[in-house]
Order: sequence, then C-alpha cells, then structure tokens
Amino acid sequence: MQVSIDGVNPARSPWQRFSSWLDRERVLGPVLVAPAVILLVVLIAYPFGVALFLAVSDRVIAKADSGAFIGLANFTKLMRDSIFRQTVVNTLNYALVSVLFKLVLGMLMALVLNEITIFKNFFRGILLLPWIVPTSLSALGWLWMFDSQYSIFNRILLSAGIIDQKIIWLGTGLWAMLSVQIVNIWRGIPFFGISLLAGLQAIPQDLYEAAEIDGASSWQRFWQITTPLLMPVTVVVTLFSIVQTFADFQIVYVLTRGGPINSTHLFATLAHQVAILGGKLGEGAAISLFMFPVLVIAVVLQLRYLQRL
Amino acid sequence: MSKKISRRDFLRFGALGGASVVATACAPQVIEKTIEVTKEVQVEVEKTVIVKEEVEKLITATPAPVQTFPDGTKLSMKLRAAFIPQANEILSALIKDWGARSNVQVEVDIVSMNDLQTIAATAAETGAGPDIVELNQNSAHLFAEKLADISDVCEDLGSRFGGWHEVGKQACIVDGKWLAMPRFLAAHAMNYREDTLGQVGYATPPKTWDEMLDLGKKLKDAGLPPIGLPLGHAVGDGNNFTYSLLWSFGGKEVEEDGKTVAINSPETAAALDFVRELYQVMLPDTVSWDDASNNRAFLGGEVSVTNNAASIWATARTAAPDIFAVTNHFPYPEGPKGAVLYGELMSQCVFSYTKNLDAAKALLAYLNEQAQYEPWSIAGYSFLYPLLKDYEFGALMPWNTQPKLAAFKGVAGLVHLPGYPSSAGRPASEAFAKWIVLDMFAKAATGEATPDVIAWAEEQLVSIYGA
Amino acid sequence: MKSSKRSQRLVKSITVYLGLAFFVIIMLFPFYWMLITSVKPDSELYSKTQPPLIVLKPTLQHYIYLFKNTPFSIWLRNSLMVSTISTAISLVVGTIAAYSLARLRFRGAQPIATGIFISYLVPTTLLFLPLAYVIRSLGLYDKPIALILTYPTFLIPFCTWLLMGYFKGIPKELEECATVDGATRFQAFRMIVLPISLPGLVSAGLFAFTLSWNEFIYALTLVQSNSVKTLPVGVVSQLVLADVFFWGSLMAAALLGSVPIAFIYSFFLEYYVKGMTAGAVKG
Repeated sequence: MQVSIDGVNPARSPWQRFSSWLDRERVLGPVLVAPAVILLVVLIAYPFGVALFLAVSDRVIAKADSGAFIGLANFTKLMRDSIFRQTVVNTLNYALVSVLFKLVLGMLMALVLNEITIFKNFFRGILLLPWIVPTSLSALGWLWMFDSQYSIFNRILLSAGIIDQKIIWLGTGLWAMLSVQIVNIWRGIPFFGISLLAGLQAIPQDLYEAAEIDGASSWQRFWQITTPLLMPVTVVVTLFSIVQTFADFQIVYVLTRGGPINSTHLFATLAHQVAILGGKLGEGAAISLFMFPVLVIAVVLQLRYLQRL
Repeated sequence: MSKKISRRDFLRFGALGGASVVATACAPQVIEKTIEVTKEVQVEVEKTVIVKEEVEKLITATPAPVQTFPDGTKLSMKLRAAFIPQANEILSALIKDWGARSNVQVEVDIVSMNDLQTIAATAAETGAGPDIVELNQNSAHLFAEKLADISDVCEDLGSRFGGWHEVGKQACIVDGKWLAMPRFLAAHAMNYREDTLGQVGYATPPKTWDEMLDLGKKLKDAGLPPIGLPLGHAVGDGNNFTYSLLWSFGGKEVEEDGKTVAINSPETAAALDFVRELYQVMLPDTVSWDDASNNRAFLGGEVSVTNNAASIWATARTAAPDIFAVTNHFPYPEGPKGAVLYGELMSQCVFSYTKNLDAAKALLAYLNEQAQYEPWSIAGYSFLYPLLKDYEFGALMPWNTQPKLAAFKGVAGLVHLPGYPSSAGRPASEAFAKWIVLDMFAKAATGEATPDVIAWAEEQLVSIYGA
Repeated sequence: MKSSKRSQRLVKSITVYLGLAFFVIIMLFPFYWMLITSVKPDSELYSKTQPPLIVLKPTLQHYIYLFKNTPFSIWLRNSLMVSTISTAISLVVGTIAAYSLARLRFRGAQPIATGIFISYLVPTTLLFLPLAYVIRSLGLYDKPIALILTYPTFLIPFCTWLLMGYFKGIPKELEECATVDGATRFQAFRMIVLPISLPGLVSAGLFAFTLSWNEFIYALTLVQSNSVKTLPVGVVSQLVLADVFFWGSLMAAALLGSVPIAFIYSFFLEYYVKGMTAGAVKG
C-alpha cells in the first residue's frame, strides 16, 4: 500500500490517521524535542530566572523581608571589592592556563594513543582513569600529595636533589594556583586525549600516504593534514573545556578553600562562600552570573564555527 | 550505621592505648616518661570503660523512662562528626536506643562540618531538609526565622545543671528565645612537646604571647621543631589562633554596637606587627595549613607547639607513640589584654518546618541530660566540651582525670564568638565566612605593611557591616 | 634504503612508547599513590623515615573499615542507580531531540537548538539553590528521583549536541528509502538510524555516566539520607572527621569508585572513539 505522508485516507482507522498526522515534520519535530525542552525549562530556565532575580536583589538567606529589588547594586559593589577583583584574575588565570595545557598535552596523548599497537584498549582505558574518578575523591588524594609535611613530590624531588628545600605547594599564592591548575590539567587531559584521538582516526589514511609519496616530512604532514582536519573537534572540545573550567568548584574547594589569602578563589567557590556561608544570596548569585557572559561568548563562537562547517 | 557498642569494642579501645605505649619503650630516653604515661592511660582507659559500661547498661538493661510518640513519628538529623569514631558510635547508639523506646523512627547522619553548613543553609532557605541540624557558631542568628523555639527544654536543662555558659547563650538566644541548644565547644589549647620545650628552658610552658615569641626564637636557634600556628583557610584552628590573638591584644573588628567598624586601631596594628615577627620563627608551611595540617605536622615531629583540640594527643596514641609520650597542653597565652579567646561552638536547632517538634525537643533534651551527655563527651577527649556549667565538674570528665588534658578545663568560660564584643549577628558571620581576620594576619605575616593590611580589612569590614 | 626506513620506524616507535610511558606515569602516579596509601597501616602513613613509595606491612584494614563502618556499599549502589537511570533518560530524551533538530524542519528548531546549547553553560553552583526550591515544591526532596531528574539537565545538552552531529553524518537517502517502503519517519529512525548510530549512543552514554558519577553539589543539597546519598558525597562527608582524615579509607574509596568503572569503559572504548569521531568531527 502506498502511503502518502500528507494525504489523508478516509478509510483508515483513527490510530492510522493519528500516526500519519504525527509523521509530518512540523508535528513530529516539536513532539520529539518537547521532552528535552520541558525538562530544561523546568529545571534550568526557571531556576536560572530565579537566580537572575536574586542577583538584582538584596536577598539574604532565610530572611523573609529581604529580597528588595536593588538593581545592579550587587554588581557595582563587587566591582569595587578587592577580593572579587582578585577572583576575576584568578579565574581567568586558572581557566586559560589549564585549558592551554590540557589541549597541548591532550593532543600529545592522542598522537601517542593513535600510534600504539600493543594493549591498545588497555592503555586507552587506564589513561581515562583521572577523568572517571569522582573529583571530590581525587582532589583529596592530591591534597595528601601536596601536604606540607608528607608531600610525596617533595620527598621525591628532595631525594633526587632537584630541590634543596621543600616546596610548600598550597602555601604561597603562585604555588597554590599552580597546584590547583595541575590537578585540573591532570583530570582534563584524558577528555582531550580521547576526543582528539577520535578526530585523528577520522582522518583518511590515504591523505597521509599521498603526502608521503609527494615527499612531505612528518612535521609537514602534521601541520598540513592533521592540524587543519583536526581543527573542528579541537575547537569544540576546547570550548567545552573552557566552559567547565570556568565553572570549576570542587578542586579549589577541597584543596585550598580559596586560600592562601584568596589567591585561588574562583567564581564558584567565592559565590558559595558569600551566599551559603556568608548568607548573602543576592551577592552570591551576582558572582556566579559574572562568568555567564564569558561562557555565552564561548558558546556563540562555538555555534558560529560549527555552522560554518 | 549505628550499632550497639559491644564489650569487645571497649576492650579493643583499651588495648590500642596500651599497645602503643608499650611500643614507646624502644626509645630509652623516654622510658621513664612512658611508665608514667602508661599509668595515666591505664587509669583513664579503666575509667572510660567503666563509664562506657554504664552507657551499655543504660542502653540494654535499665533504660531511663522516655515519652512515647504516636506511630509513624519520624525525625532526621544531621550532626557534626567528632574526630573520634567511638564518640560518634556512642552518639548513634544513644539515638537509636531512644528512637526504639520512644517509638520514633530516627535517621541520624554524622557528617563533616563543611557539608553541614551547606545542608543547613539549603534547609533554612528552601524549607525542606533534616528536622535537626547541628549549627556552627552563631548560625542560629542567620536562620532565626526558620527555627523553632525550644526555650522550654533549654531553660529546663540550664536550671538543673548550673546554667549555660555565656557563649552558649550568645550563640543560641535570638530576641529572648532559645532557637538552638548549645551542644559542645571544640575546646582548644596549645599542644606542645615537653621534650623540646624543656631543652630550651621552657619546662613550664609560656604564659604570654611575648614568651611565646621568645620560645619560638629559641626553638629556631636550637634547630628544634619550631612553632606552627595555622594561617591558611583552616576553619577551626586558623580562626581560633587569629581571633584569639587579635582580641588578646585588644583589637576588635567592630564596636559593641555591631555597626561601627573598629579594626583600625593601634591594638590591631600591634597584633599584626607581632604576628609578622612570630611568623619569622614559625614553620613557613603554616600559610597553607588546613585544619588537619597541624595535626600531621605535630605527629610528624615538624613542630613543637601548635594550637588544636585534643585530637593530636588522641591520634598520637596509635599513629605516633613516641610523640604521644611527650605531648602535653597549655592554655592559650595572654596578650596585653589577657587571654580573650575565640571559641568554636556547635549547637543543635530544630527547623520550624518539622512535623514532629515535640519529638525533636524530647530527643534534644534526652541527649543533653548528664547521663547521656557525659559518656559521649568523655569519649571525645575534651573535643566535646560541655556548655552546661555543672558538667565540667563531672568526676570522669577527661580534664578532671587526665593531667595532660587539664589545660582544657574551664575554657568554655573564656571564649567568645566572631564579632566580639558585639552580639553575634549576620555581619559577623559574613566577615567570618570571608576569612577577613585570618587573612589580615596572613597578609601581615607574609610581609605586607601593617597600614595596608588594616586598610584592606577596614574596607572589607565597612562593606560588610555597613550594608 | 630499506634499512633506513626500518630504523626510522624504530625511532618512531621508541618515541611513541616513551611518550606512552610518560603519560602512564603522570596520569597514573596518583592512583599508585592512592593504592599504596590505602594498604598502609597508619604508622607507616605518618612515618618520615620509611621509604614512602613502598609499603612494608600491607593491610586491608582501611577497606574493611570502609565496608564495616560506613554504608559504602549502599552509596555505591545509589551512585550506580542514579547514574544509570539519569544517563538512560538523557540518552532517550537527547536522542529524539537530536534527531528532531538535525533532521526535521519545523519552526523554532534553530532557537531551540541554541537554547539547549546555552543551558549547558549555566553553572550548577548558581542553580543548586533555586533548584532546591523547585525540588521542594514538587515534593521530591531526599528521594532518588530528585537526582534522577536534575542530572539530565546537564546531561541532555551534551548528548543532544553530540548526537546531532552524529545524525547529520548519516546519509539522508537511507531513511528516505525506508519511508518510501511504507515506514513512518519514526520507524525509519528507530530501525535504520539508531542501529548505525550505536557508537554515538555509546559515547554520549559514557560521557553522561561520567558526569553523573562525578556530580557533587546537587547530591549534597537535594538528598540527605544515607539510603539515597551517592558515593562522592557519602565518602567525603563521613571519612573526613573534623581535623582527622581517614586517608587510608578515603583512598580505598577513591579506587573502588573509579577502577571498576574504568574496567567497564575499556570494553566500550572502541565505540566511544568511533562515536566521538563522527559526532565531534562533523559537529
């Protein structure tokens, strides 16, 4: 029987009529996308609206008569606050440095994983471990490794004679920031590695063979074939990582709580401190929202790029 | 999680102490000390066992009469974990027992303090969560609108047991009503090593901050483990050190009115200059320390003095027996204004959304009766210091039986909450949560000029108290 | 000529395996350290004289503590259950949404796609409190469904994004053949598109599972009972007691909470790589 998608055959049962009605693009499309939209509206858009409202109010925790509209006062107050300004610098530093290293090392890991032949899946599996272990637990492991007295790194570096005085990893601003970055990078490399590996494997081998016949060196092949063809996946993964790193919470929360002297506070940890521990919900929401424009820019870039492809 | 405490557990508990002391005998120079300690520990362990047997009896044989509640009465509670698993187990067992006899289904969860604050804030804000939560410091003031009035049970206990310490009242009474019941003070003292202090002439530990500095210099010059007082974001120990130092020097963040920021004073400057000098003879790691770091540093023999609850001493017993033998405590030193100390206080509140307020109040009253409070507090080696005055004098309380814990005695009468001398309010909590006082000292210690540091703190405090 | 090629190849594989060794060491050293810590008795843990990288008297006491004195196995079960169900929901919802947005033309498709992307950006630290209001008013507080419903909010955007790319890579003609043969669009999607999208589904699924496995702040604030708590929250809140950390048991918990999952992953990895390939590259 020939079924025309738009034609309505009066002889058919109601169910058949319903199913052919459902089969139209402008019906089926919205129907299929509806569950996602409903869930995201109820559980993201609505709470997000509440958060926006909090950010322009003087709401404090558990106080019914607070919550008056105060416009952008929370934001202007933050701009004048030295702890907040330091947090902005910290977050940029944390996110950009971490993402750069994750990208470079993740790329190297992908290149290595693409070449190995023995125990291929085994190595791919175990190198994913840092990404699988819950951050709250691995961060505790790192806390123990950075411990000012028992740091295993210090013990190794000291006995190897590389340093002659122990490093106080979480003690001074610079080292503390570096330490939390190291943990973030360690955790993020496998995601880059495995995603870029996927990208590498999608590149047709004959391109390389042709280039080799033309006498291109392996360096040239990397820059002229691998890099451009890997660009889409690289961009996507990098932007995703920027989003995640900007909003990071657990690593700093476990390792330093923003210290020493606020030198490792990120937007998320400062927001938690101000809103939950300090009780100023409005100000906390404003801190969290500060990062939102950056993230929107990241996503707009990502979408633009993807549409160009 | 809660399980009945068996006699076997008691024995194991006792045996651990004994075994570690025997192990100490390897170091000849401490044998004498060890024999003393062995006796002390034995005495203490015996006493603890007696008390615990009493708990056991209480739980199994002669249950104290309790009120019973209608079927289907439920309570859930989140309490702060003590570092001693035994104390947590006793607590769970007591609650379970009460639940069984009162016909109340109680779910108790004993968790770390960091998570407790997020749980309490979410519960207060959204109106859903556990019925009973243990709050820190003056949180009852923050959540006042969402807390049930439990004045009757608090006042009853107070009238029967010598009254509540002032600090407990400050934390829990809001507008004349008890909105939480003081639970315990994480009592602090200076932890020190008798051996190294003895070597530099401090057989009697220092009494003032000036002597402390002198001690620090001598320890450093002698190449012995130095002083280490936390300057990192350590909620308990770091705040304990820095607020106490500030107040003992006569500095304060705000006037009594709770509005006028008063950090910019010669007293504050003197305290900051002092900490800068002290840091020169301290372990430099201290700027990174969290609450657990000084425990490890002391146990690892890296420092001779640090400020802490009795957790170092208690852990040393098994983890570092040689350190255990020489560990002792002394009260916080005095500054120009004497010893004006900071206290880390926990209280238990009932959220007003509870459906079983009477049961919740009955449970709180039961847990804080002397018969239930004492065994739990004793298991805490003075970390679980009572806020009812009579309980301090209990013959079996650790500071009364164990000479090395005597320094903790009476500390509940000396301590104040953040924001002192103003009464505990929201801005004080915010300044506390933002680490203003602690960071001020950390900045000074690591080299920033005193006027700059004060200006920074003043700017922050004005924005907090002015709002 | 031939031998120089061979030696070139030798140099290359030496470089590759040196690189592999480098990554294995830096990525796995923390796990080695966790393992060593988890089997060390406390006296060795705090010793400064014993060589730190080996264990002299290995003990299982920390593992025993974990299972005997904490509800570890219940947390593990809860984590598995919540992660599996929320992943399954997200996969189903994400798949049909991705198919719709990638294949079907209807009004509003473009803004919806953008909206879904942007929802991925809203940080959980901003959302958890307002979300707690929602969960409270729905009467779901302290029930597993509180997590099962909220986790998909950060899983669906990712799954949709990945699968849209995947579906775009499948030639339209395949489905058209099916519809010509009398199948509805949905049937064609189910019988033709889904089977060839298996790698994409696997990679979206693994990624989603990992995100839920790791989630902390919702699990801390939306549920409270031990019978509902997940592994990360349970372990952290019950093994960090005041200022004493139970390092041995903490590390044991970290290992038990990741190694079995990594083992399962290794079976799916081939699919995962393929799925990421198609999804990510074609965007």
